[in-house]
Amino acid sequence: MNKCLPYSNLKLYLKKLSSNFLVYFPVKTQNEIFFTADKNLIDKLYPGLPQTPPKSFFLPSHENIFYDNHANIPNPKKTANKPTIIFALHPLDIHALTILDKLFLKKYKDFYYSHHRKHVYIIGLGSYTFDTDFNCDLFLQENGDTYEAILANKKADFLLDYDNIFTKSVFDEKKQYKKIDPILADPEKLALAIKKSYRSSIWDDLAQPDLGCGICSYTCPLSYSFDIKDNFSFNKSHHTSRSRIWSSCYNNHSDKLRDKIYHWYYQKFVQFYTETGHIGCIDCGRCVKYCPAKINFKYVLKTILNEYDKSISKQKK
Amino acid sequence: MINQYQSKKSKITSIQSMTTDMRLITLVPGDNFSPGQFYILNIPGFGETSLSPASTPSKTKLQFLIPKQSDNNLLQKMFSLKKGDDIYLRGPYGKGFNFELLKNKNVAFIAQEHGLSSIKCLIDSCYKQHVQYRQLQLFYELDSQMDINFQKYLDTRKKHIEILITSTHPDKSFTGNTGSLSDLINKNTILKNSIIILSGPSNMYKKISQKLLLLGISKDDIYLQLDHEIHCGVGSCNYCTYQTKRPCQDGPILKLSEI
Repeated sequence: MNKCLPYSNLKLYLKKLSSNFLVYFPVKTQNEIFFTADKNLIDKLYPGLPQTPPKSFFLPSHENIFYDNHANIPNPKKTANKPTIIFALHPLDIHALTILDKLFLKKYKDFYYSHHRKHVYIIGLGSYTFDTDFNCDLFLQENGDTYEAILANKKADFLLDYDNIFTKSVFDEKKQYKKIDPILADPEKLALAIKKSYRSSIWDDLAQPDLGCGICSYTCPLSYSFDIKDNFSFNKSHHTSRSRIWSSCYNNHSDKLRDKIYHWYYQKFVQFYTETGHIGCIDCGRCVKYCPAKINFKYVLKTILNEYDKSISKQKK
Repeated sequence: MINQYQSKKSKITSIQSMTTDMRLITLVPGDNFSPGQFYILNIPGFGETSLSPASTPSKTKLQFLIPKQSDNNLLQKMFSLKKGDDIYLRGPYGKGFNFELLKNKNVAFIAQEHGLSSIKCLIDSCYKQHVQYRQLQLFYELDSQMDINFQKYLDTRKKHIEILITSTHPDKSFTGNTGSLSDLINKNTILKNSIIILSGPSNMYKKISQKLLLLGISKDDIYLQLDHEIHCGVGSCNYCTYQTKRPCQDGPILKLSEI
């Protein structure tokens, strides 16, 4: 039986879930959306795209991976047992998380990512999905004044065990897919264009306003560069620790800023695509919104593609 | 699930001074690895670094050449370690070098200062593994002062490899050439039909690669040792990537044409 959640029951559903599980949900404060687990803020539920992408749950920005007491003891010592729910995750972030899961659970088999990802259930909320790489346990698809409850993971059917909150759905499950921006629609061509663009003056032009701050990497749901650093502490139980800290595509071996910028685009649209079959961008717009230099990567891609098309026409002549 | 970042403890059983800026540490137990692979060494509180073994695979010992680098806390600490001290390591990582590439070829190793630490195992493996190369050459720039252990090492290798050594600051006891690596290559011929393996600081690679290309050597015959670029060692931090190649996964010895 298909179920749906009336719009007016959304916060009630969240309250019910929060009484049984640890639930992270989005709220809006100071014009930004953040995830919180504070039950006192349920009434401030605000579904939308948060400033910090969901990678922060599973690849924390600063994570102690070892404590040292002469035994190099890994942290965490025990895996988390309490089921956790991420509630009202935006469809773009679900898409990004699915791709990250593929990388960190299957390709890299990352010990720490898999620890954080265990026992975490994803309840998505939005008006569209993706036709591939869209793994969540339950998706609440907007449909007028209700949400169609699309259960993707049968093992998570306990998420629908709230008969007083859900009603019987009278609509057929109608999937709406995200429309892809034409600039990003041909990843093969994009990869070729960027490969050939190393000597383009666009990279030198960008090096003028670009601050090299890395905010675009930190806010990107698919950027996962990190540093590993040791720390001293005066804590009696452990004097040193080793941490994994978010880094940026800018922090690589290139000397010049224009090369670092090129590397950012190369990693996203060539390397990521070559290794995974996806471009390293879900078009969430965070890098554009939060860039202090107001750089829009789509303008850059458009320029690169135009230069590529011109070079192809010249060759044909 | 295996924790890829977990290190194991190893004890230092001996330390030999090779030059004023390089020490050879011997760890027990040994390990089975493919020459060309690398390890991540660490001292809690000081961080991690990637180093290629200086010894060939052995069950009884594992050796590393530790450079003296005053701007690196970890290497400074490692350089000051004593016999009996512990050090942690994880690995081996990366791909072993494909010695089939050297079949019927001449091989020229070109190294500067600490770069020798990253290719010492390869050099020794060439003749120990009976690789069917034609002739081996070593072009080496050493600016620190040689110790007797290093002189002994070079003397024992002379029957296997033509050693050409230079220094920009030679001391009185130095009997090699005077000048930079570039000058050394100008004065001495790299044998035709050679595979070149470069090892040293990054700024040396660009300079020497350009020189080699001008000499008519193909990009496909020039290999760069990139273990010093490596960070996490397991392919997930994105730090060492060169376009679509990751030295920690695909290398750390990569063809110039690939990067």
